[in-house]
Amino acid sequence: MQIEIDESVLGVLFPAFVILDDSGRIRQFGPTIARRFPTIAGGDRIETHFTISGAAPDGDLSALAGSSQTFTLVGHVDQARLVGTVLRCSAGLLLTLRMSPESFLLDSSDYTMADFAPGDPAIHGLLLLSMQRALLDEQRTVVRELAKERQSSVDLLDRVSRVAGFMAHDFNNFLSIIKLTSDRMRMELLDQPRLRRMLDIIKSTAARGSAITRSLMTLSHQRDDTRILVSIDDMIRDNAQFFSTIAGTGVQIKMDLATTGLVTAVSPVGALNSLVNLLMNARDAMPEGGSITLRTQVRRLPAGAIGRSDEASDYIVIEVADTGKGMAPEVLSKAFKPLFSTKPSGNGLGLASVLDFARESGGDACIDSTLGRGTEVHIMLPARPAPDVAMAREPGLAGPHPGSETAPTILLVDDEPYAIEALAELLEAEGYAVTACQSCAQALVELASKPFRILLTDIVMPGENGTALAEAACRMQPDLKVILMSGFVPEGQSMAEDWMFLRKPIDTATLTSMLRLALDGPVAAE
Amino acid sequence: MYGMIHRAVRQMVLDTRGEATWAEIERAAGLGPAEMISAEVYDDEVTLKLIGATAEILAEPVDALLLAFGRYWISFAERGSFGRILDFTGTDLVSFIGNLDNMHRGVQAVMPDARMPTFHLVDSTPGRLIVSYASSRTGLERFVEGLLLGLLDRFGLTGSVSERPANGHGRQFLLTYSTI
Repeated sequence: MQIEIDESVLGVLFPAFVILDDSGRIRQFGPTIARRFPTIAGGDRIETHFTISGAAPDGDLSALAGSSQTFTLVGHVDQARLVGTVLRCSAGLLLTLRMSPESFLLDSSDYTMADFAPGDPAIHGLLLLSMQRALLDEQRTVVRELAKERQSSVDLLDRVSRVAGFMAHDFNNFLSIIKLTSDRMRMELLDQPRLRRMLDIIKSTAARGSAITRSLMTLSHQRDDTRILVSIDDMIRDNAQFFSTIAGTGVQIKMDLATTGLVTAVSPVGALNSLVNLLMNARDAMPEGGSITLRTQVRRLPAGAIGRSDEASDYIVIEVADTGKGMAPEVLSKAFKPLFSTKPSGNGLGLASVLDFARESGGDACIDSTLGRGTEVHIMLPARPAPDVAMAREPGLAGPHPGSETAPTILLVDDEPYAIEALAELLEAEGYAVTACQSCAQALVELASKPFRILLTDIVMPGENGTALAEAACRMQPDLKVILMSGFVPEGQSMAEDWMFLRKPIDTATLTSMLRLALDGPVAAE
Repeated sequence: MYGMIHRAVRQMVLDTRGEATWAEIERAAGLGPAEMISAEVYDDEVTLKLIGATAEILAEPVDALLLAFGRYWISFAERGSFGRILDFTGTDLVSFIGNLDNMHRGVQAVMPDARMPTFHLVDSTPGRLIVSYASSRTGLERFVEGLLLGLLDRFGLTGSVSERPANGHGRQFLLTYSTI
């Protein structure tokens, strides 16, 4: 078969065509050949530029003419591959070649669509793979951007959080002064009900201000908890009825409490929340009913077992054990992870908050569970002997007597002069002997000169740090009781296990009960 | 439209007006990083909101913005992940426009929700082209005009693009140009 096609049409149909004369020399070629093989010239032999495969052993292509058999040319210079068939034409042999991409990746080639005949499936293949690669690149860029955006948001939130914390600190200081001064005035105005009513309004407004600072503190991830010495056994006994209500009718609660005479310095709210979380988990694990054992015991743990403890210490271990369905190992391994929950409506924060509470209190928490046999959660909290509990509980002996020669001594440290004035007067009215200092340096001088029963100090002071003062004070006077107070606790502040913490703005009643607690012993958390 | 259009608008604003202006546009349009995902298809309303907010903040008529954006789109695409695909489509203005539909078919194979326009070379003489354009979307003629100007830039040509009356389906654009 012999065909005749106009050269311009030929160039469109087969952009890589080549016409050979009868002697096998190149007579004409298409635009793709011209562009991709610029050294080819008319009269050259085809073997000069290409290796031929698929033809006769001597490279004679005429034997293929008119057949559907394809042959391949591979360029000597850039290894480009062309595939085609052979047709006879008036000038000799027409090689209907097309580019045959070795790889369908555009990045590693310099192909253009013009190198291919219209409708050549190679175009679609090249575009498809290249688009997929391009989209993958785009997605990688998007992921990087989103990660960066997220980090920016975290950084911004962190800055806002710190600003909020320091605003809360200052605001709480002012509210403290207002509240304490109102209490002082109230004592002076026993017989003037109208003025007392006005003071109540001032106090009530200050309390509303406290609600705003709580929002700021939430923004700065500050816990709103006051930390005091708590008898865990008493707390459990006092809340037994409440716990039964949580457990529900089909679940029996058994108690086995054995830490009488021991206390731990914790947030009572945090302790109670933790137990409630554990009881709710236990109840949910026993939809058909069962029993929960609430057990406390003392356990001596070796040095390094928890946190940075460098010697063996006693811990109060609270155990909440259920007879429910238990957890599979893969669930158990994630149980403390925030946002992990197996409950359809669970938020995954319950156990995570229990662990947070235990660690913030200088302890730890762990879980034992066997599928089908139940779960035991253990909270370990640093134990210390309770001071004379009987004395603390005896009515009428709770506080010191004003003017007494044995009045307990308090070293009061706060940089706010009005706060110092109000606190000192209130404490003296309660029967304490107060030495007031406006700086840590001044306090250290006082500590070096006489003994104190209690150090009551602010944490955040200009250029000074109340926790550092407390550490130094305890080294100087090991029997000293420490109560830290602040409206904001910056990151990195660590408190010793037996220190107490009072959140500003200070409530007079809370302060006085905490002072009694420091001197006399714990009460059960409500 | 696909998020890559939003990304291009953002990049144009960042290149020409800076980050503060873009932040202002994001706030005005109520958009954020979640609307900038290249392969995500967003409702046209989101794109229109972005274009509207951009025009307002830049104090430019929407038509002028679309024209500028069309022109910018070509340089944005050639600098990014799609650059090699543009190279593949054609190395001169005539072959590029002639292969646009072919290229769009390849794009559609990977992005099936894309609504691609069609382009056709109605007439081609040296320095003068008539290109027909048809799309299921309306109101993007100035954007297309910008795209064609962007192509003149891409191939080192200088000239003009204008819409001309067309008979029947679609719109027609006249390109007159010469080499720089």
